[in-house]
Amino acid sequence: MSRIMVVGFGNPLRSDDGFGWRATEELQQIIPGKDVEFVECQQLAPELAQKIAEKELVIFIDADSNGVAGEVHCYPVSAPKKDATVTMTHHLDPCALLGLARQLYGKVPEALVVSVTGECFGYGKQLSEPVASSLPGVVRHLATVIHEKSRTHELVHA
Amino acid sequence: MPTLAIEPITRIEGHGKITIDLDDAGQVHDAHFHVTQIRGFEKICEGRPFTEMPALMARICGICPVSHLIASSKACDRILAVTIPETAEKLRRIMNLGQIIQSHALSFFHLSSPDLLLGIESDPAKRNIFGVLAANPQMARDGIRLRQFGQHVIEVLGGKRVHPGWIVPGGVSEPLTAKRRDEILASLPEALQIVERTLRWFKTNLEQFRTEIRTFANFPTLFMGLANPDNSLALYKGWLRFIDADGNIIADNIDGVDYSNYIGEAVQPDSYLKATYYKPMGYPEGVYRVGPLARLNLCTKCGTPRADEELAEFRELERSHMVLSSFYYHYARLIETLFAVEKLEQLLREPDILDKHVRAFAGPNNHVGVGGMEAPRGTLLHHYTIDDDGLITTANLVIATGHNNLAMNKGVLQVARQFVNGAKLEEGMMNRLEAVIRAFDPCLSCSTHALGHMGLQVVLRGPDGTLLDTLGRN
Repeated sequence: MSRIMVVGFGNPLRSDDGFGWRATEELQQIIPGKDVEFVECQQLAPELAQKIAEKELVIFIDADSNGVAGEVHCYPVSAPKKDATVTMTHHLDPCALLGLARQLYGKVPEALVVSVTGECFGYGKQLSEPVASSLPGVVRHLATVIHEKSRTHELVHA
Repeated sequence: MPTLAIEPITRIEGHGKITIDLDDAGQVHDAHFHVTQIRGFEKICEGRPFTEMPALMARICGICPVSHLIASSKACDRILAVTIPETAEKLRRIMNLGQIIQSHALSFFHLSSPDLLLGIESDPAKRNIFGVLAANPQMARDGIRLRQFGQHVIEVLGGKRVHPGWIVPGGVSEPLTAKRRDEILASLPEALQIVERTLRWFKTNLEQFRTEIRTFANFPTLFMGLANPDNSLALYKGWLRFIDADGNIIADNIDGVDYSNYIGEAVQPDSYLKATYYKPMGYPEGVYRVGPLARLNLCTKCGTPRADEELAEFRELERSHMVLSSFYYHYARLIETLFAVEKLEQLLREPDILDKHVRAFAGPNNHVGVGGMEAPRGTLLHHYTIDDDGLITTANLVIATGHNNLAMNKGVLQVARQFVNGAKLEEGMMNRLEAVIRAFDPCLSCSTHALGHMGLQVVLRGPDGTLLDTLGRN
């Protein structure tokens, strides 16, 4: 079973909101599938909690609207200290989903959010120019993160 | 006359509100369920090639895209004038069962179990799936797992969990492989265990909901759904049938193309949701219900061993064997889920299920096509007309939530009269108003489509509730 999961989420028919999908697709081209499970989805739903609890590292790739278009934000996330109290279960944020994994299955992985500030969220399948130009760097960076994680695991289990 | 409003109604699919009109003494005078969102797919598909319709219609809903895919493909089958291969029909049935499981799991576990497990008057901050998790972790895990299983069936067949393609006019686009069949079969025992466990829990706890059972849209109405010749539970195909509250058949063997002789569609000034009614009784008297409760009232057997046992017990709830309380939609949903899991196994073990011949090809041979099937929430009809070039000229979608609209409104009024006291509003009474709507599991994204014109009325009331002005169009 793969120990790393990449979750690209957003709406691929809403221009830059599809960044998570595009980045996930490109990562799939360069990383062997047996090491990493790739998931593309419109939103984070509770059904992902079980898979997340089974991983050592989960990377969430998203688009946001804070900052300058094309700006990349990369930060670790963890389950909230207190149990979640959100009322909307149609979609969750990464923290709430990690909290759900801990509450339901008693395990929570290391997790990372990589998000790019979008410029256009209108109808369309194309990324805007600033977001598209951020894509190769994000993919390279995540490929390195995944490679290092895999290497660490190999060394530990050698 | 003061008006109370609950907006938005929580834990349903889409956006709606409830208003309650009080009289001068603070007693409930009237109550309404309003749907405040509009989609309009019937208009945007005009001019599109009819062959695009299944993929386009699947986009109506993220919960039941498979239902729209099937109803649309069946309408297109009629336009092609083909009989689809037997294996293709079985494969469509399998995907539909996966959809029934995931949608019913969503309704029961994610949306309604907080009321059922924690109590309708419990703290609203905890009345959600996380509250369920704290009170009964097994139930929360079961809900997530069962929905995941239904979605997995859809994904294995259609390539993705939401908005799959695969079901096409004439059949399905590719056959099932042994590997994929075995993958689904391997997960069935766990799904069965979950449904059995949940049914046991639900039946054990029914007694504490006596008041809700008595007052949640508990009145005589007609019921409508598809019917099989042997009176078994029909989910994929059958004739339309209406029965009355005593179980008497009042209209039967109705071909989908004749639906408009029996079903009228009314536009209400305060909602984007069409209200359908049984035409011979007129509007608004022709109230009928569809969905799991209606389907179990319409059939005499499910057609699988365990579901048949549960159906027999279910029908014993009432001396008349007709179950009228809409609270029992929850119960009916669990029995249908049990049926779906059992039936999946039967279909997957059919000797011809891996047959390669799964699609019939033809050009358009009819200008009109109507496709009907049972979606998780009830009977779904897609009605298309095309021109000589195969382009859609009109589309009409008659959707489960619309069929239930009049009954939901009556149900809201019944609950309001029982629980709402205008002098002192309490959380529990407000949640009961939402819970009666939740019992029907309405999907507003599916059901808000125009007839070509949409009635809209803006009402201006003074602080004392006096009607000052209205502005409307019909």
